[in-house]
Amino acid sequence: MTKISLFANTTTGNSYILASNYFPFLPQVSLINGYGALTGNTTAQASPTPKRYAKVIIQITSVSGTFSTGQGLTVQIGDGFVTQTVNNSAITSTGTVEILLTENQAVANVNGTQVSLIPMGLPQGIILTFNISGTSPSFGINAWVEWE
Amino acid sequence: MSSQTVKLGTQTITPNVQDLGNSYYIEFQVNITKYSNNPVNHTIVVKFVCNKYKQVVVPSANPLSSPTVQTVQKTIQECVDEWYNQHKSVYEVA
Repeated sequence: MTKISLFANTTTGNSYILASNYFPFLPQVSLINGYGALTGNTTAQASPTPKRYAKVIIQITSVSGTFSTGQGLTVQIGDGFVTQTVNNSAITSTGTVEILLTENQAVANVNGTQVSLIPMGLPQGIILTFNISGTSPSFGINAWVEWE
Repeated sequence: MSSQTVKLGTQTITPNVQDLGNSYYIEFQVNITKYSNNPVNHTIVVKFVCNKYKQVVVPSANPLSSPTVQTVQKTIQECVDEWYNQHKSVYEVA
């Protein structure tokens, strides 16, 4: 059975769920103090215990600010030992980033474009780092892990 | 792509709206006067996805009957207000 782990914002030092406005399957999540948007570099961690696969889903539901070339949102994924960048072109529009991890494969899909990543096994802790640049930037992000 | 006028703060904006089926994709420009509590004076571009429908509780005309929950379509003004409510701590609009 597929299970779900949510990402908690670790930058603030609080266990805030990383959610901009809603989770499709947990609408009440907005009642937990995760309501809001990210304006600066932020890390978030989930702790799944996958045996077969882990699929990280990152929904970018809102983007605001002004962005010069190269500015926007860059996502990194790590397991506490190795960190790698998911998107080389900074994101400045709403969309979805998915990362599929198996024992010997890691592949991302950034708004429909496939990206190869270095396999990282099936980590018990998945750390997302959101690097944000631009003028008055703000990103609304929902992120969770589906795993088996 | 459709457009209609909505209010945001003292500004009247005309967002571009794309119907995505169960949601709207909305894009507009707005002038802001504060960002993270710091005074600024510039124009930002806002892009977001808004759920197209909301659920409302409709009381029954008969006091002995239970209220019902109905799904109704949101207006673009409601979506823009929703975005601003989520970003009030980040932006102050002119």
